[in-house]
Amino acid sequence: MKALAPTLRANYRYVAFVISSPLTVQPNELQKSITGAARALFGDVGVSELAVRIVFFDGKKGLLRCDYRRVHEAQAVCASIAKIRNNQARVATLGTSGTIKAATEKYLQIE
Amino acid sequence: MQKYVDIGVHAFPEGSDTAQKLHNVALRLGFFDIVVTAHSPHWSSDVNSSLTFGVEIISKSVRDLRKQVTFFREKATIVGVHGGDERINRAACKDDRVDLLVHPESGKKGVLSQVEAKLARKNQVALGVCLSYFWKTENVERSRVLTLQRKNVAVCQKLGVPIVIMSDANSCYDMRSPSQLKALAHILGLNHLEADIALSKNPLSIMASRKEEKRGGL
Repeated sequence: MKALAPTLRANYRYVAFVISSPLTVQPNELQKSITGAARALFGDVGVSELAVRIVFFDGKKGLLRCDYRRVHEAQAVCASIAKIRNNQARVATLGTSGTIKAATEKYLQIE
Repeated sequence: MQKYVDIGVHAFPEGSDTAQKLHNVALRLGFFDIVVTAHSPHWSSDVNSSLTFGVEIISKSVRDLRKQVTFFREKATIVGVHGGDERINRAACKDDRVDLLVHPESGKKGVLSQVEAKLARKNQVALGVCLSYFWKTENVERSRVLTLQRKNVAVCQKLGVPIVIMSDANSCYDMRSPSQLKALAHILGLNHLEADIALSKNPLSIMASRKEEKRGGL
């Protein structure tokens, strides 16, 4: 099979975030909250354009992948989350990067 | 680097966290400073802190509003007016002792007219855009408020009224980082530069001028 040309590949940005919540948050719960918040804010078409997905989450810090033209919208989605599993929560974004490696080194400080 | 200020944060007893805790969280999120604002019924003058304090006046009549503005102008650094009612919105825009008009969208009409915007520009009354509606409201209510906020922002942009972005946080979980607030402001029609000014230059200039006035008055 012929590989996809670089110009046709999807470009992503990786948004590093940190969660503050009194309870431990599971990755699937966070993914549900983010998708729900994105749908509430931008609708189904908006969610499909955002292409938002969690690529890494350790219970406190994590990385969110989104379309490279929709970083502001992804940050807005994180800001619009007030509750996860009916508990108060804050998803604060730390920064944005073009690769997982750079985002991890810059914002998550994981060796 | 920009010095970001969150000008509308509600501390205990109105909110659930103390002013000092909110200040610490704000610094961690990337803010330079916050203004701890209390609604007028919750105002307490015996505050011993190095933080900046403000008041958000709630009043039912224009006469009461004027009285309260006179009372709070000497006590609080930032004097905001909780708008909503059309008469209150206009009275706040007319008064040069008022720094901010907050929640003009909460009333029945909810949109600032050109006349009110021109008065606000003349008297240097800024429009306080509370972004907490994004996480405190849902569905139809959120759509309604965001529509009104977008219209108010457009009128203020057109007529040169200063805009201030605030989180209107009641607890540390309601606070958002400056980049997130700017992203939310982007949805309301502010571009990157305007959002930067609304979060740093405008609140800082209001604080500086009012502190200068206080020092001059002493």
